[in-house]
Parts: sequence; structure tokens; C-alpha cells
Amino acid sequence: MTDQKELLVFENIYKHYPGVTALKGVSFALHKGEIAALLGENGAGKSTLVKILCGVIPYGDYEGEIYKDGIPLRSAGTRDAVKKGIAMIPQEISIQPDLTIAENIMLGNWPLKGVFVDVPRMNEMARKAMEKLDLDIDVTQQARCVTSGIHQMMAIARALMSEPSVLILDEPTSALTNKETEALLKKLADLRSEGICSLYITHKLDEVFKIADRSIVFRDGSLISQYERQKMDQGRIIRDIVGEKKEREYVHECHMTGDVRLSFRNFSIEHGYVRGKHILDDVSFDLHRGEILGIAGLLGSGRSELLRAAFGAIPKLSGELWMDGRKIAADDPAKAIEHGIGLLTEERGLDGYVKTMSVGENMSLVILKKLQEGLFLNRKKEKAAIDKFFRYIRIKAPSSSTPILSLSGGNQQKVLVAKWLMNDSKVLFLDEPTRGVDVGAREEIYNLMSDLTKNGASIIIVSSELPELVKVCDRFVILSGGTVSEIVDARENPVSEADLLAKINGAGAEK
Amino acid sequence: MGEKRKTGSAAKAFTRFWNLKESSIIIMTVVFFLSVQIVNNAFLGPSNITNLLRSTSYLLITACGMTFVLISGNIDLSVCTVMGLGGILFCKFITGGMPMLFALLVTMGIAGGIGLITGYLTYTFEIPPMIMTLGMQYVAKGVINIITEGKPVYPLPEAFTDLDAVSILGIPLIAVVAVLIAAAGWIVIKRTRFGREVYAVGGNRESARLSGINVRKNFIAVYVISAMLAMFGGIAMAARVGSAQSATGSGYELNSIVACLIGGTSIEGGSGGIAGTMLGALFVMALQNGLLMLHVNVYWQQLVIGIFVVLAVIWDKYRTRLQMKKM
Repeated sequence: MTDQKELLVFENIYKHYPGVTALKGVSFALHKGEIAALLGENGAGKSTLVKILCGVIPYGDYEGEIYKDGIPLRSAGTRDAVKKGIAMIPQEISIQPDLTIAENIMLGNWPLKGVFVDVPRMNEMARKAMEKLDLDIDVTQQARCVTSGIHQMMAIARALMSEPSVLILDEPTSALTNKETEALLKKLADLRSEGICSLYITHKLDEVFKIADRSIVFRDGSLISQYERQKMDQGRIIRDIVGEKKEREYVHECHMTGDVRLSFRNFSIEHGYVRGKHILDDVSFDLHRGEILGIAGLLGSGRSELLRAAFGAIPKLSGELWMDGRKIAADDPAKAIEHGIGLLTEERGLDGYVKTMSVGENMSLVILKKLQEGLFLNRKKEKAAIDKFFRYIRIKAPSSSTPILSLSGGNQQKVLVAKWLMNDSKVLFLDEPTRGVDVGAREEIYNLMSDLTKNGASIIIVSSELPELVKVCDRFVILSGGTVSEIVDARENPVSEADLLAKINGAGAEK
Repeated sequence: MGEKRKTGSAAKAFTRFWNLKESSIIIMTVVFFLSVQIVNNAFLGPSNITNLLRSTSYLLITACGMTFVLISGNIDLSVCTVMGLGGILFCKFITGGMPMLFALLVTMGIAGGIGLITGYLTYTFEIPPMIMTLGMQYVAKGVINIITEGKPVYPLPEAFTDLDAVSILGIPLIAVVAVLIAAAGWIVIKRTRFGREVYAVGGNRESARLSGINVRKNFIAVYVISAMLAMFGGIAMAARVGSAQSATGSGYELNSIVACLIGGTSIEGGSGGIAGTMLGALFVMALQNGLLMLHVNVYWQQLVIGIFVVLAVIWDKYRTRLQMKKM
């Protein structure tokens, strides 16, 4: 390692949040013209590090020092960081679909002629920027007319406008097709020759092996390992990412029986924002009585979409749902609920709770029909039903008339679980049930799941947290490349996190 | 000991009052009534009170419909011309010899049709409610012009116009009807499944849908209620005026929204209620009436009402924020 090649040096970076230390003294260096892959589980500290680097967390809010070309960086904010040559392409790229490609690329830097935008010059600059990425494209068309692969390229072109020396990419391929991914990876390799250093955050190991010069693994706020390209080894990297896990409180008991409760047959679903792409193709599997089935796959593998389509929350291209040997409708949430299916959505603030309502009103939302007697709601019956579950689930709130917004994330989630329990749901779809939920409430939710399956209910769980899946599931459906690549039975031979991660990635690499 | 408990319960009562969604409007109304009364004691005199009740009634009827619409997260700008159209249609029917009750039913049926179209199109094509109902406002206005060619429907049968003079225990019939409508509205929104669903749809449409609630049905229902009440208000207005005018109802869409907002119904949907709307309607009309009694230039009225709308909303936000902080 020659000193002159060191572009960025992180020295003993600490970041404390109330109650948590997100980074525990991280030190490493990035070099000119290299692609470094940043790996780790959710909450390992990757995003905190990136936030510090690109100025979202300004100098003074963290401890330690970052040197760029030997000079302390000390960014005061994101704009300052951009000025100092650090460009970031966020995971959710913000493209304004109604603006033209040129307007999007140049957003914030529109060249002016007097008080007006100099459109010809803007278009010319944008065209040159895209040309640099080997894209010959009409930059005057609306951004909504092109694929998300082009959107990703636009985001890169925009980032390159500031002529950065460091480019940060946060899971850039999650919305891309395989072909688009190939193109993007090739571009990154080209940028290497211009001396630009790319910091590449991803969960897809196959991409790491394709392009990264170095892998950097984070776990629990510390840097665990760095391997040069020739020393990279999938098994070792996975072990570093997962680490040694301590025993946890919840002990899984299997209540799965041989009876098929719900059968997914030939589900095909269109991709939400990539036109013409199917996020899932011909997916079939069975869910048994008393089973907890985990759906494992990478971000964007169609995990959530599968549950949402079966529930009728989003449309599907084809697919049949069979319950207890009978075909049931799968295109309307109301019908799914009638059949005893419940969906706990991924983002409870978005389409989970009703924020203007109380805890109790949120709980009784799906059983209003049952509470109706004559013209009116039987409010006594409603209160009794709410109180029963309010106590059973141990929701921490002064009373069931407390506004739901004043509860903690974990308790909000418990309210939403209670909502489906009140309907005596036979099948529960849980989409990231413990996201933003504290550890205590997590264990309670796991135990609830166990109680439910003991009483004959069936659960399908989607989670990005592999430890969680490994802990609670009887079987796994591995989704990859839009299909079921494998169904893993964990009842006889327990599956480890590392196995699961390898399966998710291995399946992806074959494609 | 007894004294202590008394102050304790008084403080409790005050907190309960303070936490009421309607507290701001109650305070504003009382303060306003008292101040006007001090300057001009004819304000609370019997003739002015009757006058005030009457004018409040028409607004209360349309504002009740608007309350449903706003709580569901929608807005109805077509109230004004639909109201005018209701009066015109009904009067055309009865001058044409149709029995009054039958004419009322037919008019309500047409109102239902208008609400159905508005609700269906708004939901199905995801048209912003403001645009959809603005379009409907123009359509209704157009129909009025086509039917009347700008001429009022006149004269009307006395059996109809006489209804306006009926009073029960000294209270004008229209005020009694308006209060009955409001009471029914209150019961529907607070005590029925439909009412609860309207709150859910307004609070979070997607959550409501994923909880098995038929959002389209709710959209249609609130617009049907709004159109029916608007047309009914137009009919009552025709009885009062003695003719059906093409301009009847103008301004009622905004006044209804103002009455709801002052009464604590949120423009963002999901919260509010009929009780607040009753007070809001009373306040809006009392303000107009009271300013006249104070000999304030007519031209200043709207400015003052505008200020009160903003104040009411600020108060509501401030109070909610205080409550959230406490929790």
C-alpha cells in the first residue's frame, strides 16, 4: 500500500445514537481507482458510515477523522461534501418522471441565460454526460418514457456532473434487470480507469465477485474483515457477515402438520416500476396447517409482491389461490379477509394503521361487519372484543382509546397483529413484521406466532433479516430470478443463516 | 375536603372541555355572541334570533353533507350549483303538476345520480376530488341554464311556499328540519359501520382498502349524501324565496367548507364531526349577521370570516400538537 494512492482514510470513527453505538471505532482506507464493496447485515453500520462520508451526518456529530488526500474532510453538510468531491447515488433514486432526461440530470445546476434556463446548453451538457457513460439517448424525452436502468444511469450521470473523486452507490442494482445490471457493472469498471473510487453497498455477493477490488465487511458497528480481490472467498465473507450468533430467548417449536392449508399456483406478477418485466413468473408452493413458512430472497425479488398479490392488494398477471382444496378469489382484500387471510404490511405508516384513529378503532377495522347489528354498530360488543385482545397482546398504552400515533413502533405493530387476530385469521401474511420494532416486542411477536400456529393457523413471513427467518420458520421458499429456486425444509436439518444466505446468492449467481 | 373535590372536578371538567375538538368554536361563538350583544342588544332579540336560525339552517343542511365528504378525505365544490339545480328541478316538477312528495323523491333520485357519478368517477379514475366536483359544478350550472334559459321558475303553488311560514313552537320549520338532519347525520357518522368506514377511508385510504373496506362504495355514498342535502337545501330555499332562481346556492360550497373547518373537521380527512359543523354553521352566519348589527361595512365581512377560518385551523393544529407532546 503506497501512501500516495490512498484517497480516503477513515480514522477511528465513532457514532453514538441514544442507546446505541452505530460505529465503534472504524479505521480503513480507500484508494484511487478502486471499487470497494461494503457488506453487512441491516444495522451493521454501513449506512451510518456512508451518511458520515456524504455529509448527511456533518462533522461534529461523529467522533474520529476522515482524511481526503491527506487533508481532514470535515464536511458541514451534503452540499459541502459534493463540493469536496464526494457524490452519492442513493438506493431510492429520485427521478422526476415529468421532467426531461436532461432536466433530471442537470437538476439543481440548470445553466441560465439571464433569468431563463438555457435549454440548448442544458441538453448539450446532459447529452455529453450520458455519452460519457456510452449512452446515446434522446435527452429531451420525458424521464417516465425510459426504463429504470436508464434512470440509474441518469443518477450516475448526475452524480458525475460534480466531477467527484469518490462515488457511493447504495444497492444500485435492486431495481435492475440482469442485462441492465451487467451494463452498470461495466460502467463502474470503466470509471475505475479515470481514478474514481467507488464505494459499492450491496447484498448481492455475485456482484461483489464480479467487480469489486476489495470487500469490506461490517458487523455490529465494527469493521470485521477486508479482503483483496484474489483473497475473496464466498464462505468466509458470509461467515464474517453473519458472525457467531448468541442463543436467543425464543425457542422454535414446530406445529406444522401434513394438511395443505393454502396453495399458491402459478403466480406471475408484473414488476411495479420496470415496464415489461415480471417480478415473479409462475411461482407455486404450498402452505400447511400450523406451518411458519419463510420467503427468502434478495431485495426486489418479489417477496412482498407475492403476498400482496395473493391478498388482492396489487394486481397479478395470473395465479390461483386454493384454500383447503377449494379455489378462492385472490383479487380483492375484502374476499381474502372473508376467507380468513390477514396481511400485515411492510410499512405500517403507509398502509398499515389509520393514523387519525385510536388503538381500538384500528383493531376493530376488519370486524366492523361482524359488529353490525341492525343499522348500528354494537359498541358494547366492540369494546369487549377490543379489550380482550388489548390485554392478551399486552399493548403498552393507557387505554384502547389512545391515539395510535402516540404508541411506539413495536406497540403499533402489536395493534396491527391484534387486528388480524380479532378476525380469527386462519392464514397470516407477515411482511417484515419486526421492522422498526424493539427487541422486547420482537420476542413477543415471535411467541404470538408460535401460539397461533399451535392453534392451527398458518403463517407466511417475509423478512430481510435472515436471523429472524432462521429462528422462526419451519420451511423456506427461496425466491430468485423471479421464480422459486428452492424449497428448503428446516424441520429435520436446521438451516443456518450462512446456508440461507448462500442459497439466496447461489441461486442468484446461477442465473 | 368537599371544596377540594369541587375544584378537582372543575379542573377535570375544564380539561375535558379543552380536549374537545369543538372547544375552540364554542369559546369563539360565546365570546362573539356576548360582544355583539353588549354593543347592540337587538342581536339576541327574538326577531333576529329567528332570522339567524333560518339562515343558519340552509347552511347547516349543505354543511352536513360536506362534513361526510371532508371526513372521507374528499371535497365537494359542486354543492352550489347542485343546490340551485335542486330548486329548479323541483319547482319545474310541481309547476308541471307533479305532486310535491313525488317531486321531492324524483329530485332526490337525480341528486343520488349526481353523487353516484361523482363518487364513481373520482374513485375509479383517481381524479382529484377538487377537479371532479369543479367539473360537476359547471355541468349542473349548464343544466340549470339549459332548463331555465336564465329565467326563474315562477310562480310556485301556495301549498309549497306556505311551508316556509310554518313554525313549531315558534321555531321555523326549516330550522327543525335542519336540526333533525344534523342529528341523523351525527348518529350515522358516530354509530354506524358506514360512519366508521368513512373515518377510516379519510384517515388512510389504502389501510381501509386492505382492511376489507369498500372504498368506492364509501366515496359514492358521501357524494350522494352531499348532493341530496344540497338539492334539499335548494328546494327549501325556493320555498323561502317564492321562486326558483338559477343563482340560488352560489357561495354555499365555500361557506359549507368554512363551517366544517371552523367546526374542527380536518380538510385532510379522517377527523371531525357533525357537532362541530353545527356550531361552525351557526358561527359563520352569526358572524355575518353580527357584523351587520355592529354596522360593519358589508364589504368587510368576508375578510373577517377569512381571518376566523385561518385562526380556527391554527388553533386546531396547535391544540393537537400540545396533546401529542403530552403523550
